[in-house]
Amino acid sequence: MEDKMKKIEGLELPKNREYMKSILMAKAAKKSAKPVFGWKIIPVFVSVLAVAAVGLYMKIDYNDSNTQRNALGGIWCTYDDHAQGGNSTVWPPASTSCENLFVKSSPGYGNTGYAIRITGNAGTKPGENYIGVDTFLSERSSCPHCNGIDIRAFHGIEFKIKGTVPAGKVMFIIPHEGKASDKKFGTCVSLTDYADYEADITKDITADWKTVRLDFKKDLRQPSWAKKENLVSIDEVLSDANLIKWQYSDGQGHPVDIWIDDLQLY
Amino acid sequence: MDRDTEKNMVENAREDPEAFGLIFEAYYQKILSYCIYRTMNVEIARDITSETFFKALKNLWQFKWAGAPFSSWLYRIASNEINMYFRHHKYEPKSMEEAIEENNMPELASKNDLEAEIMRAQERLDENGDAAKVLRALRELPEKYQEVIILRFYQEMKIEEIAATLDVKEGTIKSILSRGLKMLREKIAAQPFSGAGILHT
Repeated sequence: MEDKMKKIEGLELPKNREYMKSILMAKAAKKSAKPVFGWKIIPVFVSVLAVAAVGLYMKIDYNDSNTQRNALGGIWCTYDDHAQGGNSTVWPPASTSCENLFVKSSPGYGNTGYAIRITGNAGTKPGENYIGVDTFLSERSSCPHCNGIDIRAFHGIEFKIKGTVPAGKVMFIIPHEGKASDKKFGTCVSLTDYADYEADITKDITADWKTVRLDFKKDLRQPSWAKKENLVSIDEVLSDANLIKWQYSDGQGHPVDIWIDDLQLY
Repeated sequence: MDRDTEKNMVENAREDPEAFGLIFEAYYQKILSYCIYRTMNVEIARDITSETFFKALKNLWQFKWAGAPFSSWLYRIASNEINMYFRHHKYEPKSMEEAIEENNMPELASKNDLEAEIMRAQERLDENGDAAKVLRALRELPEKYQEVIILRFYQEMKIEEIAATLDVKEGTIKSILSRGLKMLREKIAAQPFSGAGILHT
């Protein structure tokens, strides 16, 4: 009889295993903050987290419907440089006190559904010449709550983009923000003086939809002008992320038109 | 895995969180299959496996080397959870849910993929003819017999390893094994299915 007690093949659960491992490692990271085992090197640990999440993804917004909130419950907003004295213009209009003025455009990628679209120009004032669009990663990430989420279990972000950018730069940015809201700008307070992790995606924006896949660790960097006291590890930023944003800057008032769709963390 | 490698891995995990990931990788499939063979329910087995590793992470500082391999300690945690499941006829894993909440980790869009994977594994288990029938017959035995037979034949442990895992003398394990196999043959013989034929192999 013993030889009939054979192992049954195909009982592996690779996706469940990776998901479980990512949660387990996140728990371990929390423990390391309180050094239960004397653990103290969170960045080393987080590389395991990223590996753990292979094959998993999390939808941010596929824009299948014309809702104001993304799949995580966060809102979409545009912003401009008026609070800094700039003269940029952006559509949909920028919110000034945490209200939601955003509207989606259609069609989205594949000529279906909707997309995130912004148009406008970054103005001409030297030093203050930007516009952008952002989306929050939970219902309570936006001001005045400023409660971020932990996205260390993911390698990076993927989205579709197209548009017209005749000059200037478009950056993808993950801001590092605190829990307090900055009433002057209607945002959560920046912990880096806006020297946030970013990637230049200008060349990816063409007339046709293109997939942009950014690895948080390989593709994002803080700008060279970041002051020493504002340098922070990417893991710390990802452990409590409020929002992600796409920012266009240019000093010559060129009009831009940018479309974004099918956003997910991978 | 030899004892020194295992010892290094565990000692490292006390100091460095990355090493706990290595422990998870090294033992996940063993603990999962053990739980599947014991419960015959892939979803419950997945949950018990998860609870086992969360408890191991939480209590690693309490683990002491006493001759038995580290895996014995994991199997013991899993066995306790399985026994709890049998006693209450339900299982509610708490650690993973708590960790998700604590870390404010949003629900995955790919949750359906995780569930589909479990369903596929459950189908494979159910479709496995005689092997599955033997396991079902095994489940009708008292828990201590199930435990020893599965560790011996499905986890391919030596008698001394089973003894260390269950903290019972080797002689007792041999006796449980012998009695368990006899009871299992009787159960199978009494069942009107093709698996009865395995009695004479």
